[in-house]
Formats: sequence, structure tokens, C-alpha cells
Amino acid sequence: MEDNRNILLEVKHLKTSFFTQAGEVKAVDDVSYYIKKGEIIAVVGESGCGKSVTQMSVMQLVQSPPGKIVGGEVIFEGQNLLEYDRNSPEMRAVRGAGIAMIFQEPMTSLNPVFKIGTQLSEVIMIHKKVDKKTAWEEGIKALEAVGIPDAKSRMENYPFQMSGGMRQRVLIAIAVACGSKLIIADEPTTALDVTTQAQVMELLQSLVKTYGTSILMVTHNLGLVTRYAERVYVMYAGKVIESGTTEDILMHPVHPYTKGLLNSVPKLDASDEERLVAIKGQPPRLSELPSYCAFYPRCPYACEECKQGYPILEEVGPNEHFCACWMKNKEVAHAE
Amino acid sequence: MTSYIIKRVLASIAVIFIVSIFVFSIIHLLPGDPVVMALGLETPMEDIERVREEHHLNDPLPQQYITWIVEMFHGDFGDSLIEFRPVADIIKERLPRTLAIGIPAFVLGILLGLLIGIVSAVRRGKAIDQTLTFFTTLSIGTPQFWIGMLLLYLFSIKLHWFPMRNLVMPGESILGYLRSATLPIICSCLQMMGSISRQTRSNMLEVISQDYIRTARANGISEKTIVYKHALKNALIPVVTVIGMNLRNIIAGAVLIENIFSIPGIGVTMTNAINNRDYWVLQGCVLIVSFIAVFGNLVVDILYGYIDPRIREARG
Ligand SMILES: Nc1ncnc2c1ncn2[C@@H]1O[C@H](COP(=O)(O)OP(=O)(O)OP(=O)(O)O)[C@@H](O)[C@H]1O
Ligand SMILES: [Mg+2]
Repeated sequence: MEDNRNILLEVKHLKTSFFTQAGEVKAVDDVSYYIKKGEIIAVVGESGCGKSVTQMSVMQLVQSPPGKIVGGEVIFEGQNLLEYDRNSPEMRAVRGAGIAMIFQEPMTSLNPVFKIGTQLSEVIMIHKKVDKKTAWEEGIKALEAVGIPDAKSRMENYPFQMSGGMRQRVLIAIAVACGSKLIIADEPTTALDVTTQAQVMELLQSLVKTYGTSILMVTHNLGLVTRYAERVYVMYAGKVIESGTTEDILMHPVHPYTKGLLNSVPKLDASDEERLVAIKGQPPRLSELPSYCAFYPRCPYACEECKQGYPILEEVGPNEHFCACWMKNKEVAHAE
Repeated sequence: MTSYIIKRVLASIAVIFIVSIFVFSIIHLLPGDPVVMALGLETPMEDIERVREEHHLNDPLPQQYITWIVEMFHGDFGDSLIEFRPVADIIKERLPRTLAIGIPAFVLGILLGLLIGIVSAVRRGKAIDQTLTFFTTLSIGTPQFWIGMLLLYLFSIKLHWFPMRNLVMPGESILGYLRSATLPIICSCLQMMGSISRQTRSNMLEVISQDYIRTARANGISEKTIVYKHALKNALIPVVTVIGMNLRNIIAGAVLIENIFSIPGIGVTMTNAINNRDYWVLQGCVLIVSFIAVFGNLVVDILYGYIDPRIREARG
């Protein structure tokens, strides 16, 4: 974090829990990360480890009840967003304009009964405070900017008249039109075929170059991580357990879980179908976490020392390579 | 949208044609000679023959049907066998009374139903939701005649707030209309209100958890706009179907309501026509009521297409 002025979003010690009948589910437990302007970072981890809830917490969109942000800070452009009430005009002004979010399911992410143009211009009107006509025209420009041919007539279309890739572009167009500085893309390409996937990713990357947008992508696809992300955060059971540059994480992983993730994918350019599932055992239940390392029951290197408490993130190499593991310094023991 | 509407209108015309054949058949499907049944067995032969001739009953069936249609286009529905005057006059006199109850009940049922449904959904699980749910469940589960009797007993007989009979038309006196129409309108709309509010509530709850609502929130759209624009329009799609169904219920309910509250409308006229075997009156009333039902469904269909573009595409 050499250059503080360059940091767009910094999440510090974020904690989000769901209060259910089964008890407190610590979906996000002391998560910290940052993203610089014009940077692409990735968050990876098994299903249910809290990737989406982390991002929804940043937007203050976690369903409440049962969800509640119980601690931490979300500093966006120098302002702690958690100081805003979740329904406040300030928070709404951030959503869509400051930080935009794109979700996994393009087929269901747009309202089926309104025209594309109506949905697009509505958001533009809210954030840019322009009249309907101007908003409509800016909508056309935004559709053109994300590479939708025949943008003018596309505005008149309903979502069901468009393909999945097209709809994902429409969602990106909303972000472009409102000048979003950060796009959080939660598995943006999982539901798309391989060619469309590549097109959408190229589009996102081009936004970084054209507008200096930052992109945080949540993904299961290590191929995408390799190709697009500069840095990676690996999450396990609601915590970040390793973080660093893409090269460090993929070529020199330290945490046994990260190693397991990498092993579970035969090729780095594997397709989306080959999800990160092949680590032995089940992810722990977030309502019954032990008081020590949550990966302990599945860890091939587990030993008595591991039970002394939660391991904290500590620097394990240059370029901000961090890892939370009691055994991280015993590299020898890890060597296969 | 235009081609969708044209198709719906054509379909309705086809339905009306089929309905007219059914209604025409009433007379011919009934056992025995309708004229003998109507005038009684003691009537002299020549009188019966004269009436048969007057009503073209001796012509071949297709010709009878055409004569009937042509006469109807000229506003001639035949004459009542009991009241000795044109059926058209009877309908003109009675239909407004039925509509004076039915239309407000229909509109009120929709509006109150939507309102209650939305409030319940937005305040899900809260005291107001539970209270409203209790009353809507009650209003759906209680038979209409029982509600009608209860209303009459409480508010007319005991409290004297509303008259028991004698519907005053709004043209005569607005105040008199409000006093005399309130109870029958309430009685007529309660069930519809209940079923629409339940449908609205459950649809709203389902819609609010959809991905596109999450998108709307993530785009900074206010919660109010999300509920009343984004969610409501989607939630209304199944409600429109329920409204269509309830239109039929209101029409059917008119017979009951008019008998309970002694309103001389189409419902009572039909009941009397059946009892007196006044076939031409019955035929005319059934036809008019069917027209209203078909027309109502046409409106509902068009509304449906207006709300849901996918329907328009699929059926247009
Ligand atoms: N509404 C909720 N009520 C209770 N628990 C919830 C709720 N939403 C999420 N959780 C819990 O939060 C945990 C994290 O969920 P999250 O959606 O963030 O996982 P994820 O890492 O995004 O997984 P995936 O890769 O499948 O999208 C889940 O294990 C789940 O138990
Ligand atoms: Mg997720």
C-alpha cells in the first residue's frame, strides 16, 4: 500500500453475520482488502466461503434480517460507507454510480417487463440528474460503448429478446453510463459460453484502459484470474487466508488450501465447468467454526501446533504476499 | 401491441358467436314445448299456435337463429310472456341497477385487494400484516349470503345505518345511492378483495427476492420505486388472471346479492324468468350478461399483454 492516494476502495476488518435459528453464521469474518484505481483484482474460494456476502456488504445490500454487518470499515474514495444508513440517499448515490455490481445470472438480472432503454435511462436519470430524453440518448451511447450493435433499436427491446451475453453487456453499459469507478463482477461469465465469456472479459478489461475503472471479479475460473487479474485474494470460511500478486499466488502458493485449489484444476486455462471443488472433505459450516484454523480438518499438513488459535495474515514474501497459516514458515514440511 | 389487441378482439367475437348459439339453444334444449310450458297446459291450441308463430318457432332452426340475430341487431329481444312488454325495455330498466352495484364492487375489490396485498408484503410478519391476513382469510372463507345476512342484520335492522331495500340510483340522489348501495357493494366485493390481496401479497414476496430486484437496488434505485414500479408490475401479472376470474364471480354473485338486498336488477330478473318460464326474458338476460363477461375478459387480456411483453410476443 505504498501509494495511499491511489487506493479506490479499502475494506478493513469487515464482519458480516447472519443471525439464524442455527445460531450466528459468520459469513464474512474480519476480511480486509483494497483495490487501486485502474486495477483488476480477483477473489477466489470454494462455494459458500463468503465471497458474495463480502461484496454485498460493501454495497450494504445484505438481506437484513437475517444479515447484519457487525464490524469493520468500507472506505471508498476516503469515505467510510458504513457510516451511511443502508437506505440513505448517500448510499444510493454510491450504488450504481460509484460502485456498480454485475451478477452471475444475466438471464434474470434485468427486469423482464421493462424495456432495456427504460431500465438503462432510469438509472442514468437518477445518478446524472438529467431529463428522460437526455438519459435515453446517453443510454444509446453507453450501449454503443459496450459494443452492442444497432443500439438505438436495442433500447426498445425487452430482456427476453436478448442473449445472455447481450444482457451482461447491458448491465455493464449501466456502469459505463453512470461513470462507475469500480465494477464488482460476481462471477460475471459463469453462465455464459466460452466465446461470450472471453468477449465480456475483454470488454471489462477495455473499460480499465479507457476509463481507468477498477474491477473486482469474484470467480471460480483460475484461467480468468491468470489472464486478467493483477492481484488475488483467496478466501476460506469467511476469511482471507492468502493474498498476493497473481504470479505469487498461482506459482508460489504458501497456504495449503491455495495449493489444494490449484491442484484441483488440471490446466490453468480450464473452462468454467471445472470448478474448484476437488479438495478432500467438505467446507466447514460457518455457524460451527472451531476456535482455531478452519481448514484444520481438511489440511494435509495439520498438526497439534495448528490448534493454538486463529492464524493471522502475515507477510510471507515480497510484493505484499500474505498468508494465514501456522505452518507457513515450515516450507520444508509443505514440500511435496 | 396492435396486432395483439386485434387478435384478442377477433377471439372475443368468436366467443360471442359461440355464446349466442348456446343462448339460442336454451329454448330448444329445454324439454317440452316452451310455449306450452310458459302459457300452461290449459291454454287453447290456437293461442299457443299464435304465440309460436309470433316468435317464429315454426321456422327451420338456422332461419330462426338468423331472424333472432337480425332482430337483436335492431334492438328487438322479443317480448316478455309475463309482463307483456319488450325484453329490451326490461333489460334497459334493470341492467343499470346491477351495474350500479357490480362496477363499484369490482373496482373497489381490485383497489382494496391490491392495497392490502402490497401493505402486507412490505410489512411482512408485522402486526399489520397478520391482522390484514386474518381478515382477508375470513372474507374468503365466509359464504357470501351469510355475510349479506350479517350486514343486513347488524347495520340495517339493529343499527339502522342503512336501509334494507329500495336501491336509489345515483342519478336520483347521490346520498341516497351511497346509503342504499353501500351494504350490497361491500358484500359483493369482499371475496374478490380477499383473493386479490392474497395473490398480490404472495407475488410481491416472490418478486422481491428476484435477481432483477437485487440489480435495481445495486443501481441505487430507491426502495419505494423498487416496490411500486419494478416489483409491482411483475407481481401484477398473475393478479390480472385472478381479476379475470373474479369478474365472473361478481356477475354470478349478482343473482345472490340482488335477492338478499331486494334489488330489482338483472340477477333477480333472471331468477324470476326461470321461475315463470319467461324464456325470452331469460334468453335476453343471459346474452347480455355473457356479453359483459366476454367484454370484461377482453379488457383483462389486453391488460395482460400491456403488462407482460412476453405474452404480447407469444400470442401477438
Ligand atoms: N440469507 C442468508 N441467510 C443465512 N445464511 C446466509 C444467507 N446468505 C448467505 N448465507 C451464508 O453465507 C455464506 C457465504 O455465502 P456467499 O454467497 O457469500 O458464498 P460465495 O462464496 O459467494 O459462494 P458461491 O461461490 O457459491 O457464490 C454461505 O455459506 C451461507 O451459509
Ligand atoms: Mg457467490
